Amino acid sequence: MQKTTKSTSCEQCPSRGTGIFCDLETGPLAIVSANKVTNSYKKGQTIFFQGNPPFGLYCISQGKIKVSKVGSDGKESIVRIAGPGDVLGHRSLFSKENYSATATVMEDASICFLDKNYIYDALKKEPTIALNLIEKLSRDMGAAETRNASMSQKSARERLAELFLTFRKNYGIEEKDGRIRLDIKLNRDEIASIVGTAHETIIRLVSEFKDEGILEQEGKVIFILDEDKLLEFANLDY
Amino acid sequence: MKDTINIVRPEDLNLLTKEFEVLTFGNDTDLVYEDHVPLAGIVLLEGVVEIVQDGEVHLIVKPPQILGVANMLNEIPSDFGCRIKAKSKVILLGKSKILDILGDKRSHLFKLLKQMVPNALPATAAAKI
Repeated sequence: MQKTTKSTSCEQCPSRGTGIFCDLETGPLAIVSANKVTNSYKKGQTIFFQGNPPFGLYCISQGKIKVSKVGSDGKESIVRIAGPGDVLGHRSLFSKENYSATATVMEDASICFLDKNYIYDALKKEPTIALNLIEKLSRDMGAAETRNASMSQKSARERLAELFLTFRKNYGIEEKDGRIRLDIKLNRDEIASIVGTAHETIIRLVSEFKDEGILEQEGKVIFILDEDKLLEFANLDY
Repeated sequence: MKDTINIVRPEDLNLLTKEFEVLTFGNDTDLVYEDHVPLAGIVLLEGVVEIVQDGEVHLIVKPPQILGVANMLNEIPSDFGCRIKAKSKVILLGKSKILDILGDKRSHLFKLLKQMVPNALPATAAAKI
C-alpha cells in the first residue's frame, strides 16, 4: 500500500504566530503551505551538514534542534538550540555561503522546508516575511554578541547561571509546587559545550548550584528552585 | 513506490543546468531519509547516490539520473533513503520552480519535465505568492 503523508497546513501549525510567515493573510499563507515540504524527523537525524551548500530554509514546527560546529580538532561546540517557530539555514542562504554549522535533531521534530527560489520570490513580494526575518536575524546577532562578551568577561559559573536563565525563559514550565521544570534535555558534555568549559567543571558547578538550593534534578530533568539566586549568580547587566 | 529513478538524456542536461542550480556536496549527506518526502528532486551530474533501506545500501545511482521529483510533488514519503556521497554534484530541482514550470504549458521546460517525471502533479497544482 502506497504511503501517504498528512502535511499540516500553516494555518494549523502548532507554532502558529511565532514563525516568519505567520503574519501573512490566509491567501498567501495557503501558497506557503502549497510550496513547503514537511517531514517528521527523529532524534539524531541531521537537517543539514556543516560545509554543504544551502538550498532553502527550514521552519521548525515542533521539536528542538541543536546547531553545532565541529572544530579542526574534531570537537563539537553547540552554538544554538532552535525550537518551534525558529528558522534554520537562513544565515547561510542569504550570505551565499556553505553551512557553517550542522543542525541535528535533539527531540523528535516536525520541520517544514521551503526552497531557495520560493524564499527569494516571497521576500520580494511580501514585506512582512522580510521584516520578520530581519527581526530574527537581529535577535540572533544580539544573542551572539552577548554570548561572545560573556565568554570573555564572565566566569564559567556566571555563564552556566546565564544559560539556565535562558532555558528558564525558553523552556521553563511552572509546576504546581512552584518549581520551574526545564523542558529540555542536554547531557553534561552538551552543557559544557554551550558554556565553553570542561565537562568536569559543569559537574562541579551543577553540584554547587544544587547545594545552594538553586536547582534540583530528578533523573534527567532539571528544576529551578530559586530564580532570584540564579539571577544573582548570572551577574546580568541591566 | 510512486517515484522512480530515470536516466536523463545528455541534451536535456544542458537545458536543466541553465534553469536550475547546480550544487556540490562537501560531505556524505542523507539527502532523503526513508519515509521522508524529498525536499527537492535531483539530477545526479557527478559522483554517487546510495539508495538505502533499513540501514543497508540497496542500490548505487550513477549519473545522469533523476530522482525524488514525483514523491516531492505528490507529498509521498520515499520508500528508501538517498545518501549523496561527498564531492557529488547535482542539479537541484526545487518544488516551487517545478510547480511554476508545470503550471505554464508554454514553458520550454514543460514538455521535458512531463517526460522526465510522468507522475508529476497536473498544472493546477502550481501556486505563486
